[in-house]
Amino acid sequence: MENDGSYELSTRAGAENTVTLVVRGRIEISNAQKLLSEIEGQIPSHTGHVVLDLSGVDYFDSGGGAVLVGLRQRLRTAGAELQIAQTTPAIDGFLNLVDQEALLQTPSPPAGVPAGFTVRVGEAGLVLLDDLRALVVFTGEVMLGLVTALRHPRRMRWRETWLYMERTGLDGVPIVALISFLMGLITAFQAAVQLTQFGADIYVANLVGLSIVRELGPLMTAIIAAGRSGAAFAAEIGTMKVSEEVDALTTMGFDRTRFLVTPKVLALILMLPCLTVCADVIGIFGGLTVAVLGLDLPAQVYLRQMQLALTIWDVVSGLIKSVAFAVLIAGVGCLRGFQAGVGAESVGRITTSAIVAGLFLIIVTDAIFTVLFHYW
Amino acid sequence: MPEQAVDSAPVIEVQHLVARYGERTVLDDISLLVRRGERFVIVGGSGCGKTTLLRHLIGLQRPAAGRVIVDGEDITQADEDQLRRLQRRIGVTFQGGALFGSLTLGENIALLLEEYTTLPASMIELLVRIKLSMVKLAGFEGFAIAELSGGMKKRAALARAMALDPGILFFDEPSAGLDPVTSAELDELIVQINRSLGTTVVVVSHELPSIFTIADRVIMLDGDTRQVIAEGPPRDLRDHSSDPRVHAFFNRKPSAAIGRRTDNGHRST
Repeated sequence: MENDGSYELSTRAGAENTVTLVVRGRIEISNAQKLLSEIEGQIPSHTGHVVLDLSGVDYFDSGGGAVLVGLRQRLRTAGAELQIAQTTPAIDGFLNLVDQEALLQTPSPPAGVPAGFTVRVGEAGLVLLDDLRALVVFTGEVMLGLVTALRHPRRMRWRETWLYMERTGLDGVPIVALISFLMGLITAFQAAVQLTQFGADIYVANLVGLSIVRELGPLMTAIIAAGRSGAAFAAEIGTMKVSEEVDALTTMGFDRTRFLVTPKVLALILMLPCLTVCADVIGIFGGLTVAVLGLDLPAQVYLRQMQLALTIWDVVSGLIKSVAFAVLIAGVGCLRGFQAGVGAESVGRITTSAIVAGLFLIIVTDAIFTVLFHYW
Repeated sequence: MPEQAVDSAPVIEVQHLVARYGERTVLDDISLLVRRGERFVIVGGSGCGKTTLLRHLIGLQRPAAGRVIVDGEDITQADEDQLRRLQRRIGVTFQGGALFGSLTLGENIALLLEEYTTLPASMIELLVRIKLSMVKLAGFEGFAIAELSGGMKKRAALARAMALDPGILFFDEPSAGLDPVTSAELDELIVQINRSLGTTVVVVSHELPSIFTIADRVIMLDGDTRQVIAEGPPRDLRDHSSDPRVHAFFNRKPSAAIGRRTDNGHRST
């Protein structure tokens, strides 16, 4: 006789090939596994018939059900039968509710076998191709939307555009300012360490000015915008897609590009250059701080030197890049949003993808522009 | 089939509950009793605070005043830990199912068993199968949530709510968004579970067929007075209530007779 305080199990050998088991007490989820293994331990290997007497059970939940079903499954594979002799109303109620035959069938294996290497490579290639095609088609739609907006400015949804300009532009100023100030500071500091060795302190101005205005300003701002705005666009449209709001727009006969995409893209096209100018100025100020405090250069001298080093083209080329970045960040954000499937998880996935694709496109485009501007 | 007798002991007790969203009072001085093994339905028109009342019963919201006692524990006084322990003893089926889309159907149910018990995987698999067979979904373990139909989602949510054999099951609008046949089947299933397992059932609904099928007893909330305006078996209320609002509701009459129709709800109840 076994006893762990919650149930009692006793065995009564009956006629040939028959074992009678008597269970009393509580059978619940927490002791089901223990009871099942104990019962199995008490059944001799060649038993053909097991009788279970449950009349003394005073608590029975689905854990008890699991014991009965598990036992029946195992006896059946061994060619034996389980008979439940005495029950209580609670057990009857439970047995009544479950479909016992369905339980005894083995669960259907998960569909599909893992595909081979070649198949997976092919599938990945097709996915990439589809994605590229979607990107091209979508870019066309966005461009068309922008041109339409320029030709019929009254059809543009300006109220939303203002809202997105505030969110992508104004709200982003603090983080852009902080990062570009520190970038200027760091660049100037690193340059100073090297240039002082040659007594060429003054050239810190050239180095910081050029690298901030031509590269770091536009690039850092774009990266911040990809994380802030690109992700926000993807999550917003993705959630709308999941909750069928996009379908609602479509069935109302509206052009989803005009409603959802053009305001966002236009807002970022207008605001990203502004943020870049902001980053340029503050970055230069960061360099100036190091020069004045660390190198004892007068501010006037530093700024004069930078004026000689920078041309207006340096600034403009940076701004041209930032416009291109804006189109890419906003475009890929919106595109990923429309690619959302069902459920919360897919919104998370497409948001991640919007940022990663945004960063990828930014850096590749930056490289292309650098080469282009060099041979201009 | 054993009809488990309705115990006289109250399993849920609400005393003078007041619920507010900011300045707006949604429920004003609500008191009610639910007995063990009973099928209890909270009814009322849209926006009368049914769902708000349910959210107070399951501890998702704390009342502005009054007490809510569930299974012997005062959840208005309970700290986070006590509340969480109590919530393990109840099961809730939300209006949209609220199944986790990133998990399969089987994993949705196994999640609770894995977290709250120390059972081996084979036993958990067996229990998941039993729960699914109770709601006639055996064999669908491996299905993604997105592959299930509306009725299957509701039943799946019910199976998940029953994962830990709760003594009380709560339903928010079980028939919302279902066709009449599927909805009737679900109502029948709820009654069956109550009869077979003796589980106390608390339902929020405004669907008359569901109310008549499920309810032993109903309380009716009113959006204007924000109070309970009727209580009793639904058929009694339909046939014998003298209150025109109650009469209109249970006989599905237009409410012109009772003046202004209220729909001041900001929540969908």
